[in-house]
Amino acid sequence: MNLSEGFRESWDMIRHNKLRTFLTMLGMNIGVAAVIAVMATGLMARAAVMEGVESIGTSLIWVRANTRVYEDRSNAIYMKPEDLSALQTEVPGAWLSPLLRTRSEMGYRGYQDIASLYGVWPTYTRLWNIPIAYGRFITQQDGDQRNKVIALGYNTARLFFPDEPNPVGSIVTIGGRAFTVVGVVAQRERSAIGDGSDDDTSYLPYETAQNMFDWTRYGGVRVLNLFFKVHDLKQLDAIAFSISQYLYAQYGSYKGQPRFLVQKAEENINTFNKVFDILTIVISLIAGISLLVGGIGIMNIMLVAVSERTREIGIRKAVGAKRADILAQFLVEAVIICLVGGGIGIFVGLGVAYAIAAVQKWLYVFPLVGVTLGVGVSIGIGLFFGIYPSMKAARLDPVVALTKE
Amino acid sequence: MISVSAITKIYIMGETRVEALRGVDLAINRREFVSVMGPSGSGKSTLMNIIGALDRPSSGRYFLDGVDVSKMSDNQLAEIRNKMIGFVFQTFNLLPRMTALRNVELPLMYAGLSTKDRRTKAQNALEMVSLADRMYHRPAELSGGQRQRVAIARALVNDPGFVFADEPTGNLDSRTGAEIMEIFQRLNDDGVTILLVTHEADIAKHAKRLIHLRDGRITGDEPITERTTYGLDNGWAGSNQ
Repeated sequence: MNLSEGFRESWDMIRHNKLRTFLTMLGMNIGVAAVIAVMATGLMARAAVMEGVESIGTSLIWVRANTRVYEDRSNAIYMKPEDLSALQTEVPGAWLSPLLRTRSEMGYRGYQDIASLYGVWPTYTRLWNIPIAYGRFITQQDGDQRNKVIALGYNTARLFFPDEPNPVGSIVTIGGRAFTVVGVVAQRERSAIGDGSDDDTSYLPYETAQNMFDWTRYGGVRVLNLFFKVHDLKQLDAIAFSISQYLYAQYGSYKGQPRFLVQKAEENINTFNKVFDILTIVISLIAGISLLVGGIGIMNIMLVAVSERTREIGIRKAVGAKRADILAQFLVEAVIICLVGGGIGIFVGLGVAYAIAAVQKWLYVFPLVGVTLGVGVSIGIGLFFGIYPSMKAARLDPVVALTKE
Repeated sequence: MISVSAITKIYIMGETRVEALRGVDLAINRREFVSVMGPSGSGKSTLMNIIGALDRPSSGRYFLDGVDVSKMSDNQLAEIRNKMIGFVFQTFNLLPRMTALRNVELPLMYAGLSTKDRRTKAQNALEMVSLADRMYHRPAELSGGQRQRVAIARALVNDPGFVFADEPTGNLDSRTGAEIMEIFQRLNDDGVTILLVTHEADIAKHAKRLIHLRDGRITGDEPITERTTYGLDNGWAGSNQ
């Protein structure tokens, strides 16, 4: 019996038992769809991360309190404002900017909403490449004079000024205080790794934000986040080391652990990759269980098919089918069920990945490895779970099979 | 020719030991038309299964055209069934999902013929049993007589020398049964060796030789003198009257 004949007969069977076959395929569908979606999403997320990292470079260092080492987080020690000026002189060869993230009520002509606010130094735009659509970014003078000025995020500007493409010069209220809009940030491709900002983020002078912030739970004014960008990438490790040295000299350690995290961008990428790898493994395991259950379902349905078609097997043997012919017939059928099930799963998975890409504005990446794997796994499951029922069919005694009602 | 000597078949079912055949000697020449009669349990189906290469004897020898079949492997037996033997069963044993044409093509598929050759040969075989116009019907859409004719076309399609029929008229009314027997007679006239298993004396009388089987032994073997024949010169039997 040739293969195309096997396909034809299997296809007949599948059509004949549509609902049963479909239900049998569900496990395969879900399993393969999950694998494909996860692999594709992983690829796209990584690509987006790499793109984000390349746009800001790997020359960033992020310093913050190592709050994880404390049993009670209220014991955590944070940097003080004087550390900023000290680090500026102690650590040459880098731009630096503190970051104070907060949220506050913002209003314009009766419209109120919660705004995401980043208090930063003017250098911040060097660190993170913040493109300006209208007006300007925060300046040194703004900080020095604690000016109440704001550079609105792209979406924030659209939200508060739907009719004014250029709201520069307008006055908005933040926490009841009047702020002048000095600029609007251009729309950005959101990167998955970075400072957490997006098109909803607006920027204020750091000192202004610091004055508005409620520091009671920190026991005074502190510096929560500090970013460095080294001028020369070769100096990255040396500069990160000097920062750690300075902080250790100031604050010591806690039970042998550093009180501050000094993280290089590449470490974040590694962390991200690790997290994503674990996520991929976990979801793949779940998908694997689904595939296993799907495979058992297929074995079950094939056993039912063999039992139902015992007489057919007898007839086929009577007219000259050899063991191998019967084996091939049932094996091809199992593989086809799996391939159709897996194929549907692949399309669903690709669709899910495509939707995620569209929502996240990621570049769509076709997960070639995932699709190949999906097809391979489908065939593999068909063969693995199909072999036993098929052998059972092939071994049937023609006389016994023919007399079965 | 078929040459069977001292064949036994013993089935062990749990504690019980059933001797279906207790030493059968039989020779059937080419172009013979033999009926095997006997009450149920006489071993006639077992004998046909063994001669039909569906089963192996527990002991004894079986030569088919000089080849020892009794010791063949499953695959060799499949080959014999495919090339040398055609079966016709009481319950027709057609595959319900397939059209008449594809049912007839089945032995050719296992013989490894190309799709085109299969089609041509199967169509010819269906024409021989006057079913050219029912080729694309499924068994459920055919009458009992038509189904049995499809089964006969399937048995003949690979040009086997032997056709074995196990109660081929058992599920048919007497008129349709007579039509089927007419086809067998015609086939026999064309040189096909036919072995017919039946428990109906009327049907058995269509053959040329009658063998009686009882308790796994041959108890009678004589030529049929008053043979039922039809006006074969009037053309093909079973044509749609």
